[in-house]
Amino acid sequence: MTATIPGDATANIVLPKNKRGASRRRRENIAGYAFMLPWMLGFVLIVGGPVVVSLYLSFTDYSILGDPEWIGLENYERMFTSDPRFWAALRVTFTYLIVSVPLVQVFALFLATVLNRGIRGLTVYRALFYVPSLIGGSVAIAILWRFIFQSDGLLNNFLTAIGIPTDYSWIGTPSTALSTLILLNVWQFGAAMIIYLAGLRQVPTELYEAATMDGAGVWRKFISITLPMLSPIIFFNVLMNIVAAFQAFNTAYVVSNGTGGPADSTLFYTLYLYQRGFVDFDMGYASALGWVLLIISGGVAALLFWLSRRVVFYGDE
Amino acid sequence: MSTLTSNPPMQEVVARRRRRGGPDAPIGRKQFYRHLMLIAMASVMFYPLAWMLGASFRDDSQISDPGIWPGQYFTVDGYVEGWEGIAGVPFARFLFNSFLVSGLCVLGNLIACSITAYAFARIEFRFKGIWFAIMLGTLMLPHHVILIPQYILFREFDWLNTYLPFFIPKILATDAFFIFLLVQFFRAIPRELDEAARLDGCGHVRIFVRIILPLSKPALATTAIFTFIYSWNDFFTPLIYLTDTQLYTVPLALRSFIDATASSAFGSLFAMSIVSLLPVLGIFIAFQKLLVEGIATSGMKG
Amino acid sequence: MSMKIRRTSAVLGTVAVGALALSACGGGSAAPAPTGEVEGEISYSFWGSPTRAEKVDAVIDLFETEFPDASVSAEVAEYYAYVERLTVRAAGDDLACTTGMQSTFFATYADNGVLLALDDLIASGQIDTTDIPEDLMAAGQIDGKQYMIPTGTFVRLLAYNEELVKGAGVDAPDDDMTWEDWADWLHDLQGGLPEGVYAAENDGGLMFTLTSWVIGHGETMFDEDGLAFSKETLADYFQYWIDLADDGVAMPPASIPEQNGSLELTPIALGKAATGTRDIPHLFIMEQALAGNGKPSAVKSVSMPSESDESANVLGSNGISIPESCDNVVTAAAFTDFFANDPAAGLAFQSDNGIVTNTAVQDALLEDAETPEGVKRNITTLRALTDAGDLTTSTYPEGLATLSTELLRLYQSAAFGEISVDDAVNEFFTSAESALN
Repeated sequence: MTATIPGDATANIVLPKNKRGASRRRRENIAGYAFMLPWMLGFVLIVGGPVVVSLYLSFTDYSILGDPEWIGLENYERMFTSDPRFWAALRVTFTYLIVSVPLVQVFALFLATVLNRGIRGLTVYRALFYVPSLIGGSVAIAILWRFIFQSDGLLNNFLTAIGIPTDYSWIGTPSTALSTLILLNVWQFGAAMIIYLAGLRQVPTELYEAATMDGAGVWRKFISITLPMLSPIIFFNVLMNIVAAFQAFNTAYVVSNGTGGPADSTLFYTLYLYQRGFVDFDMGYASALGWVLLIISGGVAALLFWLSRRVVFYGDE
Repeated sequence: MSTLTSNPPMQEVVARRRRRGGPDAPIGRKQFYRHLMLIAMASVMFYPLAWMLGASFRDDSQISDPGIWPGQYFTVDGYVEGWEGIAGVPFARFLFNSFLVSGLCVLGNLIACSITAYAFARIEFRFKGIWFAIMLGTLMLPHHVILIPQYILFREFDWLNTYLPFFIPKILATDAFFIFLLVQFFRAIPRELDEAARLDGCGHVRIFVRIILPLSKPALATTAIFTFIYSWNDFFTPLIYLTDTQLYTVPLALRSFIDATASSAFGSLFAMSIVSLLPVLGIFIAFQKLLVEGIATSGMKG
Repeated sequence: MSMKIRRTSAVLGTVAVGALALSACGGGSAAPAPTGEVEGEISYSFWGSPTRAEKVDAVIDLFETEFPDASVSAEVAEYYAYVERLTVRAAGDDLACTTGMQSTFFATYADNGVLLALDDLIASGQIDTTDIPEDLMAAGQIDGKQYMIPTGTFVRLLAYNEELVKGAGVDAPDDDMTWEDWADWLHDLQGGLPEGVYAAENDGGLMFTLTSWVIGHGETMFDEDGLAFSKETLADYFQYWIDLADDGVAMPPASIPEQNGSLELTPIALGKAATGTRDIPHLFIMEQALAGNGKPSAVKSVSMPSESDESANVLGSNGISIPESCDNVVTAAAFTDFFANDPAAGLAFQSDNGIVTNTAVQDALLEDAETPEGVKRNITTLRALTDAGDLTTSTYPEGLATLSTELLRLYQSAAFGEISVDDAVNEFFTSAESALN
């Protein structure tokens, strides 16, 4: 009945049924919190404090070099009622998000499935597709991007050469500047692709073999096997891509020289936040902007989580 | 037949393919078009890098040339001058610093994020849902908003001008992106394996170390690679916390090659950008093996 | 030589006398400057490229030789990165004991009590400013108190590509033009330029050029209440550049990103535009870039256009400040003084960040064979301006950075037809209300 089981000492103790359940729960709690210890420490020591302070600052008038002064909801009021640039920033960010996230995911997933088939030169292709993610944030790329998209840049030279003469400045005209940044982001799909590749590795080949024997074609296999098995990873990639898109800063900052121009057409939300906080020295307002962004992205994330219940298939359920 | 076996390592797949047509068989049409498409895309991906490479061997005055070939303006001045570094601190030192910092970050993340992810993925404990939401929430607050409070906090800890602001947050699992990544990967591993181990008397620690971790090699490799690259390319944290040139990391050093108020050293910028790309590519290629050969099983025995 | 009477000539004429008088009054003033030995460790924080970092190291070596008990550690970063870091450091009271500052942004720090007022140190002689012209000293003052010692000055002038102008068959511009004259001259120039080359860069969104415009039209930029010029002036300014661009004489607004960023990639440097506004030290860089691009030409300068006899050449300055939080003011003052005044230091630094302000150091540089040609030219150009009194000052209030961003953005909106010029002007004035208060 109670054979000695080597290993986990606590398994040796036999308790009456309900007490076993309770002590099991308690053990689980202890184990859980034991594993969570680093994160808890991190949250308390490193993250929690600054986060709480930033919330406080959002209700103040804080010029960084002076002391914060409580002004209640004034920052939030100003944001929603008398700040057209706030709405402009939201519009730019949402446009960027809605266009680039699907594009990135589609490219990444497509290339990952293609490369997963054991093609010759796989290693080389994988590295090549990933390289843009490695150098994307650098100053060098910002310079190059301007070279490509300015009025006498590479793209226009190419277009002129194939018979479409133009000297349109893609990067200097408000209506197309954002598109160049979207392109810059899509160019860096390699990171998502790597994650998909890792996920694809975890899909057992037998499933595909069994399906083939049942007469399923490539597309059918993709829909019925790959997508469901990969769904936790897809969910992760999409959610993270959206969160990252909300906070996109670096490329816009470098390519537009911190201006969000031309004429605020590349004024990403966090770039606007940065301007308000560090250029205008209006840190209270910037903090409020930050918290509004958290609420918006939190809302979108919650929505995605809710959706994922129906659509994502976990191996542990 | 319910025995599911592992995903075969890549060599076998390729070998199988080869066996079909023999070593000298021409590639099929499908393969040809596939390669064509891949090559076309790869060239587009690769062009900017090729340009940077060409520009690094080209005299500064030709900076506006969008072509790849340096031609008559070939020079290695960019590499020579760039390697001398800044104010007597050689570039090799910056590379070393970056390696140190990135290495520490990888270590920190691998340990801390996997532990935390295991808890979220495999243990039922009180308030788990709330903590998970908070963890994800930390990802959604823009960094600039907590920058100054965090700077003052680290200053109080006396961490300025050290590498502690880089390492400690990692070892304390503040990088929620990777926690979430690992949670998703862990959850894709069927619970039956855990339960089988439990019957054998394993507790959480054993399950974590003996079952989950080995099956997550692709995910862990991904975490390692990405952490390394993010921290290697991180410009802002070093800018704020490091004032001593001796401690500078590569991105900080690279930026100073193009100061807007002085003549720009483009050649040095591109040359050293290429030089600092090599270790990152190297790490990536080294870890790629793990991505390729990671074994995933969803097997039930018998 | 220009015949205009310049406003500042009288002041400049009393340079040495005025400064000497100032320092002589030190004796009976209220707060004594900290005294003591020059010893211990301080930091000097500045922006620049590796080349500049080397020169600073040379200066530091000379300083440490003269004051063996003191040591200085250098902290360098690229300009934009430097400014970002400055704010965070200031928030934590962590500024280096000697911190590089610029007239365009030091006001915020001075107004918020971050910087030490240096008047006592000047009075006690620890920072000697006798050889720095009074007008240049003004660039580092707020409300009459000295918060920054100017060590390198820059003046923005009109620059033109001599070859392109000659090739177009037009006379070179001169120092006496009005803005109307300038527009006419540009139209003439455009007629003779090759395809794809513009007569002028587009300055519609640039704060410095607007400053010259405002001063040239007889107004001032700022006063205690905020903007001190009229909406019409700004509207006319926007319209001026919109019209020039529409006529194909100035570069189109879509080319504005090409004007930002590295100097070597600007339209003048690439030979795409014949004229534009440039700081004196950048003229030489333009020439080098043009030579490298196979379009060698001299790049000459003339005074900014002005509608009256007032000079519209606006002075700005780089300098050094000492923060309130500095714990070794004596050494910091000694280093500042050394950096600004010591001839050997001047020769080592070679006026790398703006034209050196100390007249004795200027002389030393002019005489030294090692000094690069470009530096000598910069000094002579500045001297010519100061001698002719062809300089003017403007205040750089807190909030200037915000206004500069607003100006650019609103000009672009108007130029692309997104809003009307009047709406743009109104929005600018509204922003200025909150930014300047």
